[in-house]
Amino acid sequence: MATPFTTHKFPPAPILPLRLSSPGEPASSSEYQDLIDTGSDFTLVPLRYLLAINAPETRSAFVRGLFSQQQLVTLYLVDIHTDIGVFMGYEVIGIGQTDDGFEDEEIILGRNVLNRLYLFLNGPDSETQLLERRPRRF
Amino acid sequence: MFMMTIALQEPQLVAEIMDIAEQEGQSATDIVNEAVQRYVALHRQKRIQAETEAWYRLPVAERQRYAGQYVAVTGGEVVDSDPKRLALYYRIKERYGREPVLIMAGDEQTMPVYHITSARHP
Repeated sequence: MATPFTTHKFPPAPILPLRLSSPGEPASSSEYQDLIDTGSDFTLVPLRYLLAINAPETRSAFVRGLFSQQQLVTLYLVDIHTDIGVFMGYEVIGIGQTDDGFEDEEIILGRNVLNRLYLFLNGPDSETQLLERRPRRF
Repeated sequence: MFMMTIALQEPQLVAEIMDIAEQEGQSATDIVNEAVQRYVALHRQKRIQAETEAWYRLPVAERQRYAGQYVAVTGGEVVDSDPKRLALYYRIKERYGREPVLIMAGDEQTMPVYHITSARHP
């Protein structure tokens, strides 16, 4: 199923719908529209989404943004539920409130997950499709 | 579901929570629940951070024993290992329940730095 690019950003940006759960648990009822971001080493999830599913912590690491200092973060283990199946046991970075009290609502789907997917970004039609297998040809 | 009533004993704090509840259109109970949930999450993160630091303090030779495996660390000690992270996680969950237990690749010799090039993050 194709997902239209979000028009909440300009230019429009590719997104994928997905649900989260703790490993081995059923998917949460909340579906999120994740921003596809090949510039991100890792997937970022607002902490409150992770707390809602009781996701287990795995380890600490540092993260550094384009214009920000390196900071310590906690990684969590989740299952990622998509239209085509469940991607089990992926680590994501939990993002809490920033110093200015801002908490993003957005999940950033980074390369630790993207590199496991067959994704078709149809720019001219402004839609994304998650494929079950590698296409035979274009 | 187990529930318990815990009384807030700071009148000023209660007044501020009631104000916030009115401003945000939420119940005072929801606001307190969310605040406590975040406090617990922060406490758990500190424990994972302490276990992560304990792992990196282990002698290199000790850590190299676990190359190619995932390790589980609690109380500063490696308590289990497995080449498969999920298999290890399920065993640890069975043994420790919701206790925060560090699970990481045994190959890690320094804490990694992940880069997020989106301008808004982190």
